[in-house]
Amino acid sequence: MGKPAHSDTPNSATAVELREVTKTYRQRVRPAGLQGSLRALLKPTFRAIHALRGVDLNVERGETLAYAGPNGAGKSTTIKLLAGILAPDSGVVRVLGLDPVKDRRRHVSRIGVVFGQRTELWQDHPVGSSYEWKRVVWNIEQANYDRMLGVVTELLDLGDILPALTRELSLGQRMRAELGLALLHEPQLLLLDEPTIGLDVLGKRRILQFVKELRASQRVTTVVTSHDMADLEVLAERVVMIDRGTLSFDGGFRELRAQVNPRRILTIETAGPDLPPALADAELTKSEGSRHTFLYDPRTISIGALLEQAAKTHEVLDVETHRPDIDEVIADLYAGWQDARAEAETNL
Amino acid sequence: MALWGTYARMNLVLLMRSKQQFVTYIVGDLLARAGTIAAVLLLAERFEGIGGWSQAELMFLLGYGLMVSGVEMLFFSYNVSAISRRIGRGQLDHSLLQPQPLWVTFVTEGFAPLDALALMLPAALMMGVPVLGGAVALTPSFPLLLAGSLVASTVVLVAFNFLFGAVAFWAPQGAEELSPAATGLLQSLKIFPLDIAGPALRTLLTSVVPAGFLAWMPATALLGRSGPSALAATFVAAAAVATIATFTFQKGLTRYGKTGSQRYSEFGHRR
Repeated sequence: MGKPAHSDTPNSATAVELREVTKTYRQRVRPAGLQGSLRALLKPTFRAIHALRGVDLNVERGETLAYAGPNGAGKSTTIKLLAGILAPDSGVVRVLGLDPVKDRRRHVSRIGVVFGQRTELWQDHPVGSSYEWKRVVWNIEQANYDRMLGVVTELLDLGDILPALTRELSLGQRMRAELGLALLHEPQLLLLDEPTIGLDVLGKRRILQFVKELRASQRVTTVVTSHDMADLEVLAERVVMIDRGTLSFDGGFRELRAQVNPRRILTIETAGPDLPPALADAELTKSEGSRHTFLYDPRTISIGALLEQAAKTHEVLDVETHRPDIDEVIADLYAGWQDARAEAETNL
Repeated sequence: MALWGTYARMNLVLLMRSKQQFVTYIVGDLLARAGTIAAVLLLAERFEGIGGWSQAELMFLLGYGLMVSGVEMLFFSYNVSAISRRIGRGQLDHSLLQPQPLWVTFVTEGFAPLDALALMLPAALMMGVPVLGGAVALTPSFPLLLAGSLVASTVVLVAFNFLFGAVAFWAPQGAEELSPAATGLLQSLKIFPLDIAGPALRTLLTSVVPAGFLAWMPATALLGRSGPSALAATFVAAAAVATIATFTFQKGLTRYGKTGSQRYSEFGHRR
C-alpha cells in the first residue's frame, strides 16, 4: 500500500488527517501470588493492547468534532498523537500540514491542549502569573497577548480568577482558567480531552457555552472527547465513535440515534380510566396514574395513527414525544459492541 | 534571558508568599548543608587537617563543593532536578507541549536564584576566607579557571542526575528510587579530599562514580596541589558524562514517544 497523499500547507482545508494509524502498547502480565510474581520476574510475559487499529480520520478547518468511546477505546491515545506527545507505530498523522512529532515546536505553537485531569497552570502562583509565563515561553507579542487576554477574560469571566492562586480555585474555575491559558496564543486547533469531567451542572454549562461561542467567533478547529454524550451533542454536529481502536461510527448525532436506537418516546395523559390504552406497534414502558409512556418506531407507525388508537378508548388530554436520552443511546451502543465481542470470542 | 527573568520572578513570588515560608525555606536549606560541612570541618580541626590538606584548604574544598550545589540549584531546582519523577510520572508531556527545545525548558524552568543564594553566599564565604588568608595563590587567570571549573563540576553533577533520571524511561518506578540515591551518593562523597582513598577507590571515584570531579579534583588544581591536568580532567569528565547522559536521554525520549507514560501524576509538577 502506497503512502497516502497529504497536504503540506497549513492553509489546506483539512486540519487533522489520520491515515491507517496504528498504535499498540505492550503491557506486562502480572500474575497474582508469590510463585507467579517470581516466574514473571524471571520470564516476563507481555500482551499487546491495540489502542488504534488502522484509523482513518479527517477533520476540516473550523469543524468541531466530538470524539467518543468507552474507557480504553483509544480516545486519549488519539489526542496524544494529535498533540505530538506520542508517535504512531505506523500510518500518517498530519495536523495543520505538519508532522506533530517531527515538527514538534512549530506544531505545538499552533495548537492548544486541555486535559481535564491535568493542569498547565502553576499551582502556587496566581493564574495571571501562569498567563504571563505563557506569554514568555510561547513568545507571544505583547499586543496580541493583551488582546487575547481581554477576549478570554470577558468570554470566560476570568476577572476574579486571574489574581487567585490556582491551588485555591474550584474545579470549574480552574477549567475556565485552563481554557483561557490554552487560547492565549490563538491556536488554530484546540484539543479538549474530557474538559467537563467532574464539573457540576453550572460549571459544565459555562464551559460548553464558551466552546460554542469560540467556535462561532474564532472558527477554531476543535476536537473534543468526553464520556458525557449530552455534552458532546451540545458542542458538535459530527461525532466519531471509537471502540477498541477502530472507528465504529462517523456521522451526525441524528444518524447515530437512528442507527442505534431509532425509537421515540410517547407520553400520553388521559382523562379516562387509569388503565393505559392498548396501542398496536408501541411498547408500554411505564404507567403512573393517568400518564402512560410508550416506545414506538416512527419508521413503522406514525404518531397520528397512535393517537387515533388511543382516542378510541380514552380521552387524550396531553401528549409529549421525545427521543431517548443520548446517554441511553450510547449505553445501548456500547452494550451492542460488548455482545458482538462476546459472540466473536465464543465462535473462536 | 526573558525566560530566566520570568522564572526568577516566580521563584521570588513563591518564597515570599509569607514571612514564615521565606524564613523556613532559607534556614532549612542552610541547616541541611551546614550539618555535613561542620562534620568535616570538626574532623579537620581535631586532626589538624585531613589527608595532608590543611584546614584552610579543606574549607576551600567544602566551599567549592557547596558552590557546585548552589549553581545546580540556581539552574536546575524543583522538578527539573527530580527528572526521574518528571519522566516516570508522565509530566514530560507538559514540556513536550511547549514550543521550545527540551534543553531550553530544562535549563530555564528550574531557575531559582533565591533558593540558590542560600547555598552560594556561604559557599563564597567559605572559599573567600582561605583565598584571603593566602591558602590560594591568586593569579590573574584564577577567577576564570574557578568559574570554568565550577561550570564543569556542575555539568558532571547535572549530567549524572539526568543519566540516572533517564532510567525512568525504561523503569519509571524504580528510577524514582535509583536516581536520587545515585545523585545523593555523588553529593555525599564530594566533600572528602580523595587523597585519603587508596588508588582503586580513587579511580572508581574519578570514573564510574565521578564524585571526585565535583570538588576534589578541581580544588587540587586551584589550590596548586596539582598541575593543570586536574582541571583538564574535570573538563573532559564533564564532556564525557554530558555526552553519555545526552545519548541515553535521547534514546529514552524516542522510547517515550513510542510508549508514552501510563502512570501520570501531577505531584511535584508546577510548583
